Amino acid sequence: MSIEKYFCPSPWFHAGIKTSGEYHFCRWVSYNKDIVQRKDPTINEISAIDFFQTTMAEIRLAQVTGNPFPLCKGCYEMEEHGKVSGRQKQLLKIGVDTNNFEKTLRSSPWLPIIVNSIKNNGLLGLTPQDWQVDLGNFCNSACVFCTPKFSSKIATEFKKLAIATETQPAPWCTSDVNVNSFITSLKACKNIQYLHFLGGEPTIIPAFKKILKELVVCGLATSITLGFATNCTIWDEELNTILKGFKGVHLNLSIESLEPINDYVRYPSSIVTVTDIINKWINISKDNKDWLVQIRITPTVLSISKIISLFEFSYQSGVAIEASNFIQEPAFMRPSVLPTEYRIKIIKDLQEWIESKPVTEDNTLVVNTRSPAQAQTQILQDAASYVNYLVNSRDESFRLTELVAYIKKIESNRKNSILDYLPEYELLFKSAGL
Amino acid sequence: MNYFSNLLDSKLLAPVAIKLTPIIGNGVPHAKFRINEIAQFDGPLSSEFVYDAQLSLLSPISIELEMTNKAYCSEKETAIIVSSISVDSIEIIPKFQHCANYVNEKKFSSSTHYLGANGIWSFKIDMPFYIWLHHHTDQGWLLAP
Repeated sequence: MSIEKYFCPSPWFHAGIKTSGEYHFCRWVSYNKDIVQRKDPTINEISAIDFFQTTMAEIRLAQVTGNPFPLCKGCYEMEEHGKVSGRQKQLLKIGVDTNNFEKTLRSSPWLPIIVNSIKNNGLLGLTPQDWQVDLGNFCNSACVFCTPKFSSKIATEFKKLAIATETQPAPWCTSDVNVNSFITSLKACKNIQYLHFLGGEPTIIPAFKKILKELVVCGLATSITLGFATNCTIWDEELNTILKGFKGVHLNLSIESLEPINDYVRYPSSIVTVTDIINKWINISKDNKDWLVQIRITPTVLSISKIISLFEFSYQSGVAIEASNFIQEPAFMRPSVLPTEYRIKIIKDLQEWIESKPVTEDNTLVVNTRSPAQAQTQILQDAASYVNYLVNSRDESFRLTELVAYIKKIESNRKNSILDYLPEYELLFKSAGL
Repeated sequence: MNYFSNLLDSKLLAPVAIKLTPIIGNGVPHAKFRINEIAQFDGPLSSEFVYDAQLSLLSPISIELEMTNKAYCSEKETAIIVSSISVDSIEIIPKFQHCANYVNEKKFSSSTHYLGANGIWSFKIDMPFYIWLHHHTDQGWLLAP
């Protein structure tokens, strides 16, 4: 039992809503198929505030037992490999440093709140300050590691290829009634600090702009920092104007590599267009105080060997790079699917890249990954976490045949070939059935 | 679940160590040294003074050093150096000297731990120490309940 290792304060200030309209308790929940998932109420059944204050009581009680909570597995895994986890980030938001857990928790203004809620069976009278809002899968990209749940383009393709034929439920935000209900809940929240939107591609989802415009009109936007990820294929001047109405903007630019492999992995984007739009976002952020732009990557078995160019770009430009959670699903996309002998060169190249940079005296893990002053240190640490992952994660190369079977199917539709981008993997993929 | 209640009951006392070093080339400076408004030293400071005590890290900590009796001379120096302050073994001075305030008759910069002029040097941690440290080490947002 270890409170220090497993406690997370996130359920005391964070909540979210999934595409289906079902509420959820954390943006970092592990959707690993091996873990039994929760079934929570939806926006049609109860208000967001009721969900947070009442339904989430059991989540809060689970966090204080000192035992691992299965749905939090993703964060535990990140910490195991030296990668900053969602848990660590949320702890820092209440002033808790995992390197000095007890004293910083004692000092946190949230400790009395936590104690009080425990005495009240997990019930809480506060409202969320940090929201994760999933807007559905409407997307113009069909990233090779994505699923119908997060991309309408993939959903269409999978139906055509008979990979997955179930129809995705209409996102909650296609209903004006739901959107208005959610906006009402947001207005009832005291002191929202952060609102993070997820797609699909948020910039082309109508509800995204609708919600943002309403928050600007009602005045809430001036106290909210807005966060979202974009695939850097769309440039929308109207959206940029709306964004300026917010207190701050944290923008994650999704890209996997500066090399051509990005075109394959983030199909059907073009690296030329993507880099042009990335530079536009970087420039616009320089003109706006409290805007933060970061590169967000999702390393997979197909891209892990090509991430150094992006790390170098980030390091030189001072734009922090942060890899998402170690990808869980689809399992055959995990970098750990690479056999050990194929990892050796990647590990060596990453280590050499890290060692080519000036050594910092302070090796403390940078948990505040949004600090521009610590961007370079954070970039090196993120790269190191991938070295650690490749060195220590189990060999899942038994999934190669599943990966290759999948590649063959999608390439039959896309008329491309992974071997044009990763010729060095020809023997590997052919041995798995390519 | 008792962990959290027990933790809330703890006072969080920790060592606070301060070292003052005089320079007496042109006479001995007079020092009045206070911690949380309570005098710890008041007299001629002819040799190093060390303060070492357990304070609660949940309450503000106020450190004040007043130097008087310096006669200014270009060839010989009289001064007091706040050589070190540590709270819970974490270096505060000289690392955070930019947070100090120094009101002095020569209008020397506040960002110092060297009292080269008669005046009052102060350092205030006006919130629980680890919250203060969070703000001053660029740890990002701190949500308020």
